[in-house]
Formats: sequence, structure tokens, C-alpha cells
Amino acid sequence: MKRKSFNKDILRSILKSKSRFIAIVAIVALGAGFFSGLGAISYDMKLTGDSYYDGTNMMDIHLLSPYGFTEDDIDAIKSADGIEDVMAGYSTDAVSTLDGKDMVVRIHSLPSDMSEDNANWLNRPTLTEGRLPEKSGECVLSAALTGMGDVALGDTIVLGNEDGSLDDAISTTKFKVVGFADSSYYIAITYGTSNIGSGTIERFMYIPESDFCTEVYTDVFATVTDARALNCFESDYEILIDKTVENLEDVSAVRAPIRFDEVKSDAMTAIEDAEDEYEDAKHKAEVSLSDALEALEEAEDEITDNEKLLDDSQKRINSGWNQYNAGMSAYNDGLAQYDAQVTDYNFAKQQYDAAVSQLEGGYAQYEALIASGVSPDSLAEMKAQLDGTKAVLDTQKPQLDAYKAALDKAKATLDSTKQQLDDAKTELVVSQKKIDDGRKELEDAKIELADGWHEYDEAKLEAEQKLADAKDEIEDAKKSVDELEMSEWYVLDRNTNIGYVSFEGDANRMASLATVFPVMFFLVAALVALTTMTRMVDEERMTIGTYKALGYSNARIMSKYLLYAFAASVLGSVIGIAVLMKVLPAVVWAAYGILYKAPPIQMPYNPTLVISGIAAATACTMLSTYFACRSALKEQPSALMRPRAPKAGKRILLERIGFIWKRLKFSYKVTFRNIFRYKKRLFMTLAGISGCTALLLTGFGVKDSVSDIVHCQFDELYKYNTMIAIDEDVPEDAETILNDDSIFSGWTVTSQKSTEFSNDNGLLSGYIFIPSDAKTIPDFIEFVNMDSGEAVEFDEHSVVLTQKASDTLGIGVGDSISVEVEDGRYCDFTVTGVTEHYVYHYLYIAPEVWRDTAKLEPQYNQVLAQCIAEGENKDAAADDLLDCEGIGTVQFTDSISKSFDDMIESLNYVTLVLIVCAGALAFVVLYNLTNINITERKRELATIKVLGFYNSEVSAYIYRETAILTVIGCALGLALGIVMHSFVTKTVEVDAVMFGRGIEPLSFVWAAAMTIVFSVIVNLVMHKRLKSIDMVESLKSAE
Amino acid sequence: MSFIEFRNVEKKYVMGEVTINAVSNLSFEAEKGEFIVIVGPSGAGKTTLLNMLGGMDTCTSGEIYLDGQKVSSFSEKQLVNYRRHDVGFVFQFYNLVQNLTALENVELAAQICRDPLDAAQVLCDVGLSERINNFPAQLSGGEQQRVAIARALAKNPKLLLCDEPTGALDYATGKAILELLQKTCHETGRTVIIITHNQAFTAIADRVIKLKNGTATSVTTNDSPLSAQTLEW
Repeated sequence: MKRKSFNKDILRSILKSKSRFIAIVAIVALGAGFFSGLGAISYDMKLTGDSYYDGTNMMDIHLLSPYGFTEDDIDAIKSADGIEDVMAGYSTDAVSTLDGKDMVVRIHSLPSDMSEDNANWLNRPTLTEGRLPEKSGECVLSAALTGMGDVALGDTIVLGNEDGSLDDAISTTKFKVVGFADSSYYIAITYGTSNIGSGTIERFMYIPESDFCTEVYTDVFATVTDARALNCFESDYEILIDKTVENLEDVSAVRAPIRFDEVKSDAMTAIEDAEDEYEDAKHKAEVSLSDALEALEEAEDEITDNEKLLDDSQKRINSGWNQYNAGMSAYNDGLAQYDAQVTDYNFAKQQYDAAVSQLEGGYAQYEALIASGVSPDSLAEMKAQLDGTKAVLDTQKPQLDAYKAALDKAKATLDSTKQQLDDAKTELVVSQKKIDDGRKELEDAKIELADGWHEYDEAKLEAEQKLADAKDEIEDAKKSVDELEMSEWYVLDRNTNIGYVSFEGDANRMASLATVFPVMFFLVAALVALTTMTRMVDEERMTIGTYKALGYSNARIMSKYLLYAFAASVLGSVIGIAVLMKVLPAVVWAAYGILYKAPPIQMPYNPTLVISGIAAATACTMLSTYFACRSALKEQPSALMRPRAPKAGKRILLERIGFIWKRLKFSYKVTFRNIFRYKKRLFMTLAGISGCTALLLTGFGVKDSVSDIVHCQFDELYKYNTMIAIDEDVPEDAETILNDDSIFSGWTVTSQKSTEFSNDNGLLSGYIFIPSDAKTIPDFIEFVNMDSGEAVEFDEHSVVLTQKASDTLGIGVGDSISVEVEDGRYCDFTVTGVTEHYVYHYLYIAPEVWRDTAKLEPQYNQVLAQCIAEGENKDAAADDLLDCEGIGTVQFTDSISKSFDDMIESLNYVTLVLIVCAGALAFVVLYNLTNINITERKRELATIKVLGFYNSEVSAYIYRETAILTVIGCALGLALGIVMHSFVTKTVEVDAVMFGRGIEPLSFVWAAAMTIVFSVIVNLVMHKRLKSIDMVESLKSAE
Repeated sequence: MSFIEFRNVEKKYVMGEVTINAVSNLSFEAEKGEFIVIVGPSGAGKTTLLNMLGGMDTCTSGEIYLDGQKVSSFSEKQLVNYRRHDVGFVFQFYNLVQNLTALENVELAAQICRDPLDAAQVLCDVGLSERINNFPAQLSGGEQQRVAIARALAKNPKLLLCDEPTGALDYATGKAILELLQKTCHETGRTVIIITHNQAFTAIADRVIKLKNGTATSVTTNDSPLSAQTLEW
């Protein structure tokens, strides 16, 4: 009760001076709200991420081993110290054609027991649609990202790999999509890299464990006891995990050699088996070859024998012919003899017959003579003669007959000989035919034999080749077994999970943003509080004096102002924190929503942030209040009750510069003197206005920087606009299209490969880019030094690194960079130039350097081209190219830049936040300043009103000051904005992307113009207050 | 018609539910070139009268004339012009703009008038030729009030209105200021009105208007006013 009146005075002070109270409340609300709100973003993100991880049983530790894990290994892991749950599983990468594009898909296994309470089921996918696989051949696919086409529920996707290695890993390659899911294991939309296909994992999928046919587990995931209770983005968690990782490394030290020996002995057994098999095969081959040889030789002998036989037969036939011919000639001789004898016989016969007929004639004559009467005597002689002749003839007759008989006999003999000869001839002809046939057969057999030999030779060669190959294979296998190196397990924590890392990075970026902006707001809030409270104390000098005179202690009196400030700051900070701690995280999360697939952000009021926000804001204003009161309280009550001598006018520096000062209009002289008269207010105004301009410029600048990326990268640095993926060489039909002057103005073959760069400062994922021709590549990609704007030379000795990678790794010209040139092999390159570049990291290496250093041939896989055709012609060209064999994809850069544009759209929220903040700051500061300016100079203003100044002149009297301060503040703010912008862009930019460092001139104009507009609006509001100033004030004594 | 005329002027202030009659039925006249003293105790309506005559406030009813203009029916804009050209004001607490030198304070007023006097000359006239480039804080109270008078005079007004011009000054200085005002009046023929609670000042006035409870109790002319020099109080 004792202090009732005093407390009433406090309450009335508040009620009486609403605008002053509201000014403090507002600026404190902004300051504390920003401090806690921005600070909360990082906290809320981490909380959201952690609870998402916990809710999906995200692994803490991921074990990998080149030799896989056996059941024994799993048991050993399970019993390791600190391990809670363990899930052994499989994973592999495959290529699938989705949306008409070859995509790399990472496949994970789902455990057979997918019940909610299976604690050993880690990395659980979160279904967004459909259900989990229930049987073999079903899968859950990652939900499509923006820009991807549709795979619908129920579609079947076919997996494949160029080298067929997929068959070793999974037992079926066709999967029906039964569900879509997000996964905490893939919280960011970049899923990592792969050794196959394009090298970038574009989707992930889950299939039943049973569809994997790998013998050993490829991955082991584990959670750590007590880790769930910790936030995984905090150091406690890291410490706990590190300890468990060490435990597992101990397990690995024991288990890995066992597994290694197993693998090695398995390999050795396999080699031995192979060797046996080889020997077997060799033996079999030898046997079958020698059999074949034998058969061939036999056949050859047979042919020789048969030939001999045939020759013999021929000989025999020949002699048969000879005999036949001899027989024939003998026969012919015989026949001729016989014919002569026949002739002789016939002649003798004729003579005999003639003699017979003569005899008969003689007998007839004799008869006739007898008949005629001639005496038979007289005729006896004649008869005798006739009988003599007859006797002769009768003797001749048997001779002739005998001769005839002999002749007939000879004839018969001759005929039978002839018969015999004819038979012999027939026989001979038949035999000859037989021999001829035999010969023909023999010739065929000979040809067959030759073929047989040929075949034999071939078979022999083949067998030898095969055996040699098999031998080589075995030797290789032996060598690789010898080369097998003992490898410990890779015990990885979440820091190798790309989603976790980028999420943590973004959260930390927000945290560092949260340390800078609130400082500015607090600074301004402190200034506002200081000036406002100073003004209040000045106004209440009399009251203070009266209290002192009444015997109140200094502390007691000060407590009034401290309480006033306390009430204002607690109210302001509570309002600011209540609103901004919900709004800011929500806005930023909305922006990040494009980059992360995670549940809605949790925005609890974090007590630490709330209390520290309120405490910081309160401390800030109370301290200002303390300083404002201190000097007044030191004065004597009597001095306090006298009006304070007005602040003395002073000549300002500008007056010494006579030629400017003399030229200034009178009213400006007043203005300048006023500006420099109240240093505190000047400082506050400049801080407020420049802060506002700086925030605006930062906002617009961030937008510029971000849109710069797309513009600079795709319109300026890349002079090509078409990328064509090729399998190996450019097919001829494609070459024809590319050489068509009306479609493409130029093209070149290049090699691009996803890899990792590193040096002592760290590691980055990026691409190696090898042009086929170092001399012409600057026609397709501009190499330019960011600082000097000069072109960076590219020739056969060049190794050019992109700017962001150079900044991140601290690699400059002449430094060395380590690059993974093929799996597990690293080479050092010396950087010869650094070029401006915005999207991803590249190392451009001249093919000559690549060959010399990496000792590899570049694997050309893409064509860069400048397409000059437009619209339909362009699309047609793309279609034509795609029709060619060996062309993978045809992509135009405008489509890429568009998808980038979409992604970057999210950052417009950040810009909007900054602009709104800037506006709020500008209003609060300008309003408060002008307010104080007016109250403080009420008498002066009333006086000039009495002197007959028009309202507009009175306003101008004040506005000139505000205008000049606004202009100076703007200029300062633009300078400050450049610094802030470069800080903000460096802070918020993602690893793979470099934001533009420049700000468009137009943004400077906008930032300045908006500041001026804010200032004008505040002044318009104030005009009313100026008008309402009562001239009677001028008659009162100064308070 | 007289140079200054108040006819049945009434001024009411409505403050919430209470109506205060600051001035009621106030009538008086005064002539050009007179040195007029309006005197009365606290609450007599002096300031209200001053406000209305100075164009800083309007009356509720009645008529006010100055040099034939009906001030009581002026619009706000006309009032500004009236203050600007016709009235010069001298305040109890000088009301100099601290940030301007003596000369600049005078110029501040002079620059907005149609026919101003030379600022430096006026300052010389009020006896401040040595201090024209000093800031108010570097001047004594009397000097500051001289600057204020010079500021009012430089406007070349028809009427010089002084509100307790010696109120914040010590005796000697106050007397000097009164001398200056009287001298100004008599030498330049400018009408000067001094508003004060100090009855002693009536002795030097050409015309005395006594106020009490918001109305003029007497208006008397003084045919032989004392010189301010000889005044004692």
C-alpha cells in the first residue's frame, strides 16, 4: 500500500504515452522475435529431422564391407557394446527406364518381418501411397520428384544392368509398384552417386529381402543404445556414436580377417576346382583329338589299300583285255584260215560237182549213143573212160565230205571261241565299270578325309585356345586372389548419409544467419530504447525532481523507468516471439520443402530461445534505460525542477566550408545544424534507415544472385545449348544431323564423369570433364576469371577448376587437387586456372593431361552442340537424333534452366521475409524517430507556427531533416547491404551451387526507392501530428 | 473604428463535461501607435486574449478587429497569414531557435514576410550589434529577449504582442527590455501590447486594460505615462 501512488504513476505513464510505449514494444517485438524466430529455425529443423529419424528407426551406424557380412558377423555386431538393434540387408544399384529416361535406381531390401514392433527393422520407409510389398516381385518406389514423369501404382518396372551384374544380386528384375514412399534415409532430394549409368541415383526402391540372391549381407544397419533420446544434430550424439563406432571397429578387427580368410579360401577352392576342371577338360580334349586323329589315319590307310586293290584289278583287266585281244586275233586268224579252207573246199566241191555233172553228161551221151545205136563196144572205151572217171570221182567224194566235216568242226570250234571271247569281253567291261566306280568312291573318300583333317586342325586349335583361355582365367583368378587385400569393415555414421549432412548443413546455415540479423535488430532496438527513454526522462525531469525532493531514493525513482522499460520489453518480446517463432520457421521450411522430403516442421516454443530472447531484449532496453536515467538522477532536485537548458546550438563542420555553406539556403542551414545537433538521434536514424535499406538490398540481392545462377550459367558461360548422351562414338547418321548447318552451328565430343575431388581441406563431389579437343572447347564453354573478368586460357596443358570448388577447398592456380580417376585410384592434378561457374563443381582436364596423368583413355560419353533451330525444327532434330543407334538422351539446356528456376523459386520466400522485416524496421524506427523529434521540438515548432509558418512549411522544416537523413541512411545502407548480401549468399547457398556475387543496379534502385517510400509514408502520418501541435505550447515554459 | 477592437468576445473551452468560460463579454478598443498594457491576475484571461489577438486561437463568439480586418472570422489559412504579416510575438521564454544564431533567428522570421526590415539593422537597433553571430546559449536572458524582440520587429508587423516579456528576467534586465519596447513604440509608432500580471507596468502605458475573471474591468488611457527608465517595482 505504501507504494500505491508510485505504482499508479507508472501505470499512468504508460497509458499517457501510448505511442512511446508502443514504439518500444514494437522494436523489442521485432528484435526479440527475430532473435528467437531465426534461432528457432535451426532448432526446429533439427528437432523435426531428429524426430523423423527416430520415428522411422533411422540407423545410427551403417556398416559396409567389400566381402559382405555373414550371420556370424551379424551376431558379433549384435553383441558389440552400445549396439541396440541391428538390421542386416542387401542393396544394389540398377538401371531402369522410367519416364523414357535411363535412371539409376538404388534398391534396398525390406526385412521379412515388417511388423511395427520389429525393433530390428531400421530405415523404415514412410508410405505416401499404396502399401508395402507382400510377395516377391513387388516393390515400393520413391515418390516422384518435381520434373519427373509418372510411374503409377500398379505399373511394372524392369531393371537391368549393362554388364548383367544385376543377376548376381537379385533373382527377378521385374517389379510391380505397390506403393510410393519417402525415406528418412533419403531425406534430401539428392540421393547420392552410383558406379553405374549416369552416376547419379535418381530414385530408390525397396523390395522384399527374399528377392535378393546375394549369399552374404551387403549392408548392416545398427542403432546405438540411448542414441534415440539425443538429438542427432548435437555433439552429445556424435560423442556417443563415435564411441560405438570405435567398439564396432574393434569387432571388425576380429571379424574382418575371418571373413577375409573365408573369402580367400573360397576363392582358392574355386581356383583349385577350376584347375581340376581344366585338367579334365584338357585330358578330354586330348583324348577326343587323338581319337579323331586315329580315325583319320585309318581312313587314309583304307583309301591307300583300296587304291592298290583297284590298281591290281585294273591290271588284271588290262591283261584280260590283252588275252581277249590275243584270243580275238587268233580267232580272226582261225576264221580267216577257215574261210580260206571253205573257199578251197567250195572250189574243190565245185570242181567235183562240175566233174560229176560232166560225168553225168558223158553218161547221158553214152546212153544216148547206145540208144542211138552205137554199139556198146564201140562205146566200151568210152564206157571205160567213163567208169574210170566215175571211180576217180567216187574216191574224191569221201575226201570232200571228210574235208567238209573237218571244216564244220573247225567252224564249231571257232564259234565257241568267239562265244568265249564275247563273254570275256562282257566280263571285262563290267569289271572296268566296277573299278571306275571304286575310283570315284575313293576320290570322294579322299575329299572327305581332307575335310576331316581340316576339321581336326580347327578343333585342335580351338581346344588349345580354350584351354589357354581357361588357363589364363585361372592365372588371373590366382593373381586376384593373391591381390586380395584384407579390409576392415567400413563403420559409417550418419555423417556419410547425404541427406543428413545436407540437412544439418542447411540447419547450421540458418543458425549462422540467426546470429547476424538479430544483432542488427537488437542494436537498433537498443538505440530506439535509449533515445526514447532519454526523451521520457527529459520530459519527466520535474517529476523526478519532485520525487527526489519528496525523499524517494535514486534506485526507487529509477525503478519507475526500469519497470516501464521492463513492461514494454516483456510485452514486446512476448508478442514478437509468439508470432515470429511460428512464422519464420514456417516460411523457411516452406522454402526448404522443395529440397527435403520430411514431415511438417515442429515448432515448439523452445524455452531456452524464448527466455534468452526475452532476457536479451529486456536487458537491452533496461540497460539503455539505466543509462538514460543515470545522468538525470545525478542532478540536484532543484536543478531538475528548473527547466533544462536547451541543448546549445553549435557551429557545425560544414560551416567552415564557406563556399558551400554560403550557397546553402537558409532553411537548409537550419536543417543541417539540427541534424548534427542530436548525435544520438542521428545515429539511431542512420542505423534504422541504413538497416532497412541494407535488408532490402540483401533481399533483392539474394534474388538477383539466385536468378544470376541460371542466367550466367546457361546463357553466358555455357555457349552450347544441347547435350547429347552417346554410348561411345558418334554414330554416322547422328553425325549427319549434327553437321547440318541449318540445325547445329557446331558440336564437340566430351567426357563427363561423376567423381570426388579432395585436398587437405576436404572433399567434394563433382564432375571431371574431358573435352576431346582442348583447343575448341572454349567455343562451347566460356572460361573466365571471376575477379578480373579475363578469359582463362584452355589448351592441351590445362586443368581448370570451377570457382566454388576452388573457394571451398582453398585450391588456387598452381595448387594440386586429388581426383578419383577410377574406382579407388586417385591422381593429383595441378590446377592451371579457376573459372566462373555456378552449378555443381567441375574439373576441366585437357585430354593430353588426362592421358599423361591418369594413364587412361577418356571415355567419351556426351556431345555438346549449339542448336540454332527453333521450335518444331528443334524438336524434330532431337527426335531424329534419338532415332540413331547409340544415342542415349538429347537434352536442351533451357529445360534444365527451367527446372532450376523452379527450385530457386523457393528462395523468394527468404527475399519476402527480408523485405517485410525491412519494412517493419523502417516503420518502427522512422516513426519513433520522427515522433521523438516532434515531441522534443514541440515548442520550437509551436514558435515557428506562431511566427506564421504555413503548415507545409512547418512540415518541411522537419521533413528536410528526415529527407537528408534518409538519403544518407540509404547510401550507408546500400554499402552495408553489399556486405550483408555477400555474407547472406555465402551462408545460405547450397554446396553444389554458387550464387551470383553481384547485385543488379535495379535492385539498388528498388532498395533505395522502397526505403524512401517507407520514409515518406511515415512522414505523411506525421504531418497530421504536426498540424495538431498547439501553438499555446510556445507560451509555456520549457519543461 | 479603432485600430484594435474587441466586441463582446467570448471564449469557452469544453473539457469533457466541464465548460470553462475563459473570456466572456470582453470588449475594449485601442488605437494605433499606443503602448498598451493588459494587466490582470492569474486566470483573468490574459493568455486567452493574447491567443485570440495573436491569431493563435479563435473566439467562440463576438468580434475582433485589427486595422479594419475582422480577425474573428478569419479562416485558418488567413490566420496563418495574419500571424505571418501583421503580428510580431515576444514570448516570456524568448522561444529562440537554439540552433540558429541571433541573426539567423531574426532572419527566420524576416524571410517569410512581405516587407521585412533588415535583420542585422534590427539587431543593431535593439543593441546587439556585437552579438549577432552568437547562438542563444551564448547570450544572457536579456540579450535573448532582445533577439526575440528583434525577431518580432523584423517582420515589420502592425502589432507587437509581448507575453510577460520580463517574466524570466531579473529586475534590471527586465527594465531594460521595457525601455526597449517603449522606445520602439514611441520612436517607430508601432503598436505594442504587453501582457503582464505586474500592476506596476501600468504606469508606463498609454492605455491600460485591466482584466479580471475573463472580462475587462477597466480600460483607461494614461496621458502622461512614465518613462520605463524611472519605473520601479
